[in-house]
Amino acid sequence: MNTAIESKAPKSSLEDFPLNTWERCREFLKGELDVSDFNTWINPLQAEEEGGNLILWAPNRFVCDWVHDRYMNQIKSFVKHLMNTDGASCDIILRIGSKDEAVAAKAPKFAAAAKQPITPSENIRSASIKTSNVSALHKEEPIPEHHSNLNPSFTFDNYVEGKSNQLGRAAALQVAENPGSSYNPFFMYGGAGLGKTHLMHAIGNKIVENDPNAKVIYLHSERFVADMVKALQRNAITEFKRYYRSVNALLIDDIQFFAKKDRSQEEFFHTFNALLDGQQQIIITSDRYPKEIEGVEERLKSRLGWGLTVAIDPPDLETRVAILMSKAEVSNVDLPHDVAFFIAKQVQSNVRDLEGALKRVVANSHFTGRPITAEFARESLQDLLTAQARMITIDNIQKTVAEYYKIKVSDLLSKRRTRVIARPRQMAMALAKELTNNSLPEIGDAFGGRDHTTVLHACRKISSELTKDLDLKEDWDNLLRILSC
Amino acid sequence: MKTKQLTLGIRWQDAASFDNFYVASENAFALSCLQDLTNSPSKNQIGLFIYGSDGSGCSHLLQASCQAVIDRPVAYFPLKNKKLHPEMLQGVESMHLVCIDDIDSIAGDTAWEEAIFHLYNRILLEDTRLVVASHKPVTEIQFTLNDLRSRIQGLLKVEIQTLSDDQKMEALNLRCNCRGFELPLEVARFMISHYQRDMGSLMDALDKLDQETLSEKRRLTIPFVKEVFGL
Repeated sequence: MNTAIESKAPKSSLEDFPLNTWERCREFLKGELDVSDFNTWINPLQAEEEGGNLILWAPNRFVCDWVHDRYMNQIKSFVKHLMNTDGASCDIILRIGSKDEAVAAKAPKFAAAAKQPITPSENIRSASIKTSNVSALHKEEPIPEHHSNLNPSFTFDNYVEGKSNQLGRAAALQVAENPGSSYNPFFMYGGAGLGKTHLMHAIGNKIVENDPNAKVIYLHSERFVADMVKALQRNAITEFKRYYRSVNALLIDDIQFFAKKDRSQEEFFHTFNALLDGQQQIIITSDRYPKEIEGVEERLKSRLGWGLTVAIDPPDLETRVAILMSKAEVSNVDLPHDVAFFIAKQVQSNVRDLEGALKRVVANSHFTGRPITAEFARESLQDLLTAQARMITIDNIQKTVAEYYKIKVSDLLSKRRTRVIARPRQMAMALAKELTNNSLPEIGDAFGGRDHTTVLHACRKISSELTKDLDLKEDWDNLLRILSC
Repeated sequence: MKTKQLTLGIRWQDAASFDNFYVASENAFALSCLQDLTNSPSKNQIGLFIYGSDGSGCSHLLQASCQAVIDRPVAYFPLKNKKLHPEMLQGVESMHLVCIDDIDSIAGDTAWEEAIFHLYNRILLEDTRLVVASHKPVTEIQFTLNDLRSRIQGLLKVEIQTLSDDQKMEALNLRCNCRGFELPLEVARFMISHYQRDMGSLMDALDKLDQETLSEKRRLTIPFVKEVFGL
């Protein structure tokens, strides 16, 4: 693809040329294009002056190609028209990346934003750069400066401990105090929004606090894959390997996104082995237990489970209240305990949902100037509560319970009384009684025309079993969480 | 024979802005949140999720947010547009503001869901603001990726309320004032009661009437509206 415009004319002494030209061009395109198209394709372009030429940075190849194919002629003719008027000249070069050096600098050298124009001649130039990189690597170039990507606001101090995460927190602290020696690899798994990432950053921050020279790198698995692909494209895989194998602790979030990415798994497998051999710490999170991650090679799954694996479960009511109080304190918000209790009772699914609800109440209070009370919280979260209520119907409960126990909805409505059907049916009835306003006869009708006394029996049975049967209690909590999400 | 006046070959663009958005009292909070997010020099929260039914003005607000940012790059992704591709979210974390419109239209599309999820994670590491719009509340969007759902749930969520008929008339009037012509009250009332009542259709009708009054050199009256729309 060639997007260079070769329009030569005497250079102008105009101030800010050619950025000024681009501003005028943008104004012209604003009038020509649909607002939506302008915001999608033209607004993301960043202009920069280089040697009197206009460089337009597109964030990715897709936008770059689109602008080149659909708008470059318009841009070209308008600029030509301006040049004829002003007596100036410039080339227009489309490039992929960002003019913001800070963004590029956050990526290691082998994966930094491609600062190459997408012209054939320039591709040749970038190819020659690749060659020189490779030869330089043989001379053992220094390892690129590392960027930890750690979020300093995630610490052990502001991680609220409860029954659901106390094992995870204790183990994480142990890892942070003795990286590479206590539990390696350290694997945390659990549903979305339960605090795995917070704990991961907390470990990284603690390691750096104890040893400011420690090289700790946090990254999402997608970034590992993207860096590897870029390194392959730039023939810099050796540098990539050295970079990731030189760290004291490698923290990889959401490893389940490695699924079906065989080349990345292969590379990670070798990095993993190298780090383990060097007693460097590996910390990994996933949404499920290592053996249950689909699309990941068996040998990698097996290694993931070599160290310590801990589950992070959804927080209970008391922990949710404590989380809300802690988050409010961080934001300097005075949150009454009864309001925290109200929100925690309504939002049971995960910490992000809790955070979203709290943000809503606080923002509303700032906007209206009203104090935060339970009544005010109810008003502020009205749409959330209505949406939740819309979700919780008997039909939806039946569908969710059937999916959870891997049976059919028709089984729940049938006359069959085998235990594998009867227990989920009782559970669904009890949930319908707990979460909807339907009467017992209505619930009975919805379950294949059963009598209201059958529903009453189911509710009593489940209620008494919940105190004795821990597995049943876990199922109940999980279903409540799924239904209120 | 009466001659038609030719209108200029330039399409009038009502550049969406906060100023030409009719703010019903119920929606003042949403507008304030959006303005705070786009104007604040420091990023005190990652973003905002706004939702409302068709024609409630979510798209207008997203585009207005883009217009409100000066001298910094922004990106707007109307996901209903099937020509867009998940690959185009790569690298946009370097923008000042990223607006994702109609997120509910890609629910169930794994490639899009993962691309938005990864973008969210990259945005966390940057000084980038995110605004996401949908026609449904998050709880009703059928995402297959729970990781994405939970991240959207964590944003500040605000509903854009549908306007009442009186508010719709005021909104039409505001749009006419911005374009420099008068909308007689009886005409506005007639449009509301005889035409499709969602704001999108009403604004399109206003576009057509604007063109027709100009080319026919006629005043905007009820008989003229009937003639234009064959009512």
